[in-house]
Amino acid sequence: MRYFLLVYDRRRHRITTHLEFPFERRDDALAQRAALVREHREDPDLEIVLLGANTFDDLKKTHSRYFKTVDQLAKQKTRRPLERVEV
Amino acid sequence: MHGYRAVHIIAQVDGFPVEIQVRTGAQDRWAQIMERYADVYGRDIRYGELPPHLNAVDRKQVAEFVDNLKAVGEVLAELEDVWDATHRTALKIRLLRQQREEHRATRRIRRSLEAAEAEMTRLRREYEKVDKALSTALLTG
Repeated sequence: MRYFLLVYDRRRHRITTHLEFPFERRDDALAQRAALVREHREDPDLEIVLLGANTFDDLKKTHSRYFKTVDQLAKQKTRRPLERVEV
Repeated sequence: MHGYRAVHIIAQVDGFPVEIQVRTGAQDRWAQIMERYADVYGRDIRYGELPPHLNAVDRKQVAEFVDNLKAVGEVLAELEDVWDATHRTALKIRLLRQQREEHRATRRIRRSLEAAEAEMTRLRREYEKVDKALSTALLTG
């Protein structure tokens, strides 16, 4: 697993900062996040998050709103869980 | 959030409380749509508050969108009920089949199994119907 430090601009729908840290450097990632929070504390539109995931592509699934519009989210296919129920 | 659906669990990890949010694919899709919309029109719309700076036309449009999304949440709840019932029935069928193999296939077991299998067929149809309603609601909402 890796850590991804993102600054997401809600209104502009854009990731403005994207930093990656290996699993062992969690403390550095947390310190960097704290620094970014201090730097942007006056801007309510910025979301500063530290996320753990195996790959950046995984984040595109778990945090899809950072990457997709409302229309794209609505049209996205949901897995059909009923097909997996076996009797 | 109005209409938000998930299971939140608080676990203790090394003495620290850790919140784990569990959502189905559809619940997550709902939440991502609401969050994304709130990014544009203000975080308070998640709790039914309309942003004061919007003009009347935009206010109406945002209110309608939030209402539609709430309605989608209700369809989602219905889908989850059918989903739960499907799992309970699947378990019942498996147990009855096991009983049928282990014991003589009594009339009671045969009848119960037939009833459970018929229920499963009904639930599958019901699921398809509600799932289709959910997709339509998401696309038109």
